[in-house]
Amino acid sequence: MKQLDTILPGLGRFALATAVLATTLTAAFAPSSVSAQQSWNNVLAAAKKEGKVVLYSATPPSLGNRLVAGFKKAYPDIDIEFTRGPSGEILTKVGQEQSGGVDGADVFISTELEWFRARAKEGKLLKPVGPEAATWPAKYIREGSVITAGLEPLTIVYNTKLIGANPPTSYADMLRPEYKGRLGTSELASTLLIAWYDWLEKTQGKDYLQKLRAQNPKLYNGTTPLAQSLAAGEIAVGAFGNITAFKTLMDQGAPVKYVLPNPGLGFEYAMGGLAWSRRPNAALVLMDYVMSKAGQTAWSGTGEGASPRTDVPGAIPAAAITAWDSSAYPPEVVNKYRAYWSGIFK
Amino acid sequence: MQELKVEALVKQYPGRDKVIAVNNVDIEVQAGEMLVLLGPSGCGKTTLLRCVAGLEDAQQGKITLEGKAVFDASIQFNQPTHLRDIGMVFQNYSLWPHMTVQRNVEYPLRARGVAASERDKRVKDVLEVVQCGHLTDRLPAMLSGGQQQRIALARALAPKPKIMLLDEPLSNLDALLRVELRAHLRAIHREVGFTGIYVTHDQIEAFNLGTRVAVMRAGKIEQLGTAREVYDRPATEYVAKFLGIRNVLALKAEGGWMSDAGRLEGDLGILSAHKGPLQMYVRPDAVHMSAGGEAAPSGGSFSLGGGRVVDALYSGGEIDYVLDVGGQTLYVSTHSAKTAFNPGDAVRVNFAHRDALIYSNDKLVSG
Amino acid sequence: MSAENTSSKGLAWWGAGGLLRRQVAPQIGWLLIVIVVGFAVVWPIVQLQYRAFIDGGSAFTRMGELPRIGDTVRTTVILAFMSSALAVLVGTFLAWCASLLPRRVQKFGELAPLLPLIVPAVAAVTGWIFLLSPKVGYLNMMLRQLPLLSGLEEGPFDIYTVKWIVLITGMLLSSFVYVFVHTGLKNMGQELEAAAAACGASPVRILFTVTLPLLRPSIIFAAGVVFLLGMGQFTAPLLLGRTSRIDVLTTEMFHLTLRYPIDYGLGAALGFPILIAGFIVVMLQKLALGEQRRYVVVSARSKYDARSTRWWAAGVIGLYLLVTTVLPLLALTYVSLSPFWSGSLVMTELTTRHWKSVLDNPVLVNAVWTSIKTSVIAIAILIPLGFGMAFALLQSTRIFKPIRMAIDFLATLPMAVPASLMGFGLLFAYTRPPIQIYGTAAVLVVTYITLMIGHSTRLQFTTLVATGQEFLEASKACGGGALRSLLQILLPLCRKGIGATAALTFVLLFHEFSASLMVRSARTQVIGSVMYDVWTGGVYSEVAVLALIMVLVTVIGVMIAVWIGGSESLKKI
Repeated sequence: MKQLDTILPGLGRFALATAVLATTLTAAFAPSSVSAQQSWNNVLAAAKKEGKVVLYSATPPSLGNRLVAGFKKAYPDIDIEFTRGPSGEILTKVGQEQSGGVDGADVFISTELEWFRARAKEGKLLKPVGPEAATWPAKYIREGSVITAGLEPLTIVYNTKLIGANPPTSYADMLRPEYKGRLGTSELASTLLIAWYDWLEKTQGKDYLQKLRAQNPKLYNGTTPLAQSLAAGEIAVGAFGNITAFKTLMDQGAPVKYVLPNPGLGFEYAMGGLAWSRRPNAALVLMDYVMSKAGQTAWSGTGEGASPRTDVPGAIPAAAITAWDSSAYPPEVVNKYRAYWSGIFK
Repeated sequence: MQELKVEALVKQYPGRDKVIAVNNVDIEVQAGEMLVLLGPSGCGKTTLLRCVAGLEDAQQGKITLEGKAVFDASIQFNQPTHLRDIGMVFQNYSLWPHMTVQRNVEYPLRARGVAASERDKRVKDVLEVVQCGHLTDRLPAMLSGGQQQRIALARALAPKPKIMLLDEPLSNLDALLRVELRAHLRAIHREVGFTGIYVTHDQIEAFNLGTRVAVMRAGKIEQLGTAREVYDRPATEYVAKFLGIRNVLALKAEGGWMSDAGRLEGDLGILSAHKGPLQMYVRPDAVHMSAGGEAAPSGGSFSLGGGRVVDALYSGGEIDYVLDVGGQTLYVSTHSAKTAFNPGDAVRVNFAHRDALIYSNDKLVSG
Repeated sequence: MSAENTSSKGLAWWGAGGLLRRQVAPQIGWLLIVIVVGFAVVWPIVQLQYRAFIDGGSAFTRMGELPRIGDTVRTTVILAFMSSALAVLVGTFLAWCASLLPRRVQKFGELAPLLPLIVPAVAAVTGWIFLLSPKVGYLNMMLRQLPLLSGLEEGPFDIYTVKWIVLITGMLLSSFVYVFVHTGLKNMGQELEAAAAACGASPVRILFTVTLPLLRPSIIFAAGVVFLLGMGQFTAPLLLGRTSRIDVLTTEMFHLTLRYPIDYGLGAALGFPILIAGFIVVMLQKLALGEQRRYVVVSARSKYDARSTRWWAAGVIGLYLLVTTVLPLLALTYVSLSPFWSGSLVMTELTTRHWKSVLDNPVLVNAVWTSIKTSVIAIAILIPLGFGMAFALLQSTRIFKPIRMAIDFLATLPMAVPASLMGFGLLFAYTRPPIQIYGTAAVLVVTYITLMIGHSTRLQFTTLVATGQEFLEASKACGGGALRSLLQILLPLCRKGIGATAALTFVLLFHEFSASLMVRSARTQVIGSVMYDVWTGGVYSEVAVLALIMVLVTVIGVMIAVWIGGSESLKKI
């Protein structure tokens, strides 16, 4: 029967549209200072009526699951549906949903910051109106609606069974002769990877990628498959990784460790509420939860990443992470770099 | 009144050859009559039957069953098979393997909406008629070929259809069973008195069972008559050949009549009306032999001299002789008791006027 | 009723024997099927290929500019040729071995080469990765225990190579070849081989002088089928090729769907060579076999069992089963019970927590249900539709010839188009008007129907041919109308064949990966697509769990279909 709901998505649309209109009108005509709480209460009520929120996220499953569990606890009346995927892949799906008018994601989290900025400029992202948005550091709200929900440093990873003494500590160490054929790195699974390879060339020398290629590394589609192979011992060292992906395996007792190289690069997870969402109020509530102390603690309290908030125990300080500058990688640059990289690695 | 009437029926198969399987055929079948369509394979007899059944769409003509048209090309009317109220027996029985004998036989009754009580009685009766009353709960796979064909017959008979269509029903059975079932079928026809069309390539079946026999050739009716008429007076050379009349003399008028077997002797008076070439057909059992030295018999017979026995084949009560008469091979069947010739003997052959089938331009002119 | 017809002037339009019911209505019915199926099958392909050729074929220019496109095309061709050649060799050899099986193991031995079909390609490839990864593959590690190989640090095999992609694809496809050739052998009977043996020929001589030449139609047919499958092969290159930079056209196409906005023109251009090759193969099959022979007809088997049997044949089939099915399943089971995929076989740390976490994950469980539901709905539509189309193909005179030819074409076309290309086309067609069903389960159902309508028609055609027209004619002659004849005669007689078709279709759909991966949306996932997601973003132990669930559900599905269709239907597969 659930199929029918998805087959006939239009059924509840009229009702939804009315609800959205109602809340927007309330927000627009209410005196702003006095009734900020009042209008947020309206959003909460409408969200409850919407009953469900759909989150697409490129964060690793463990992180996503923590967020989902936390949200369920905070808002037991709102169901949450969570879909995970690599950044590029879910971005395509979101784009198709937008152009096809498909009932899909309400809130989207991914590393493709520029996509969010472009949508924000088109007015296609919801303005975060919750109480947490008011106190969120301005540096981490772009275009008024693109939220930096978390930051992570990129790491070097290795298998502790295979690499005993003298583990690698820097990107230069990737070129050690003993790592030849035992090294893994990632394909260009997202723009972040492009920025990272570009950054490597800029910081490690123009011929660094050539030398890395000469090490004959195995290529993986993003960090998770690389992590699996590393844990299994198929490769001994991984040049690319983020902590969250490895945390899952470490929790299972896998012999992997990560190192933060210096210099190193980090990245941001951007979050946006999609304006074409069928459940805009629930989207706003979820975004507010992610930005709350509880949400941020679920996100980075395990020490896997950094929070823009300063009151999250256990998180890496955000200031320690140099995030890549996504604005330097518009589509033309990305496509050109893709060809350049393929020329070296394939 | 006639049960079935077929008028000017034409059936042509599509495709490159555009074979005309039924070519302008007219037949009528009277109530209670069994009409046999006889002919070699490919002569169109089965196609004609299937047109009557409605399993083939003809292009021209009209078929009327009990006075009502079931097919009329002129108004593009073609009643579907299942509404024609026919009974049909197929060459390979076509009993449905997933149904018991009972279910098979009652199927046509169910299809016609016969009430359950009546149905059971009819099934019981008709199975008695075909002597298979004890087989009701069996599946077809458990039956012998003969039993299967009896059940198939019962299935077709059960609803008392307007007409029974039998498509070579005995040809898949072995020789002994065929004889037995043929006799049985004849008895059932007498007993039940159904109207039917029976397709076969076997002349003995045809003469045994047919009230009338239609010999077909290339989509046309070559001859239509009682079994006796067809047997005694094959209307054309084609029919004579099909009936297996093996001795053929091609006669030319050359101051008398010459054949490949030599000059025709004996009483030639009845040939005097003819000038052109004639074909004379004589059945092997109508030919009599006498010793080579004897003279031709004087009246009422034809004769050929100068024959020689090539071979004598003993087959039970009969002897089949193969003769060489003036270079042509002739065949003679006789009762062994009457005559005894040995290979190499010189013989003369004689046959009565009434046994000689004489064709001029493919028309029977005497006999 | 008929009397009025005869007496009236003009044509008989009305009534049971009238033109409307007899001529017009059926043609309209068939035409409707042609239009609907035609739209489903042809529209996406035409739409997509149109994208490749607009703007003066700029898509082909972009294709030419793709990095290493030459290598990609070459790999595609090599993979298609080598793997189908291997599949034909192995499949034919297996069928020959099956014909030599001793009586005691014959029944199971003949079914055994079909067992790999219950292991979906994704699962098999995953299992093989666990077995043959150069350093930590279990099989590799065991081989390195051997004295000769003990010096090696990795290998002796590296699964991430073209050679192994060919080997694994070939093995996966060999089951299909076996199906066709085995059926061919069965139909051939043993008399001809027995005759050769009586002339003093050895089994091997018989194989090359009598058996193989007679099997040529079956082998050509099977070769065509596996070549098409090999060319569209997607799973093995996707999962194995990436780590060592091996791409084929279908994986390139898949990569396109990961970039927004999707360059459909480029995808169409990439698919164009596959499409052309597909058409050529289907045409060659048609030419080589003639109209009739394209349909492999099952007939009664010989009564006499005069074969000479060999025990080593059972050994060969056992080895095949071990290598293609048992070993990968063992590897999957072990990994599914391990905390993580590790390169060691330590039995003490086994855990069921990944099974729990998969079964507790609503997304994954939903995907399993979506797979089952969409497959079952698709089958519920496919079986009657395919039955109707097969029936139409059998009607020589009563259906307007162009309509019959169109139905034949529509039953053939989906077989010439690889699932991945079809999926790409469907993604394009259904994300925009007039039929915007992307993101719903309906798109999966439509995709499955489009992919399988050819199989459904062909398989049921075989059943109908084997059943014979005369049973239906007998029913009509007994006064049974269309509905009665269908329900009481035709369907019961075809039950086994339909059951087999349903079972095979279920297996193929439940395992469907290539097209599903293209048309799935984030919220409408099937088991194959979530498995890929877990593959790219989760723990391999969970991938193993999902793979095993796929196998289990397949087995249950086949058992249900066999239960409905009767035990004989398994043989019909």
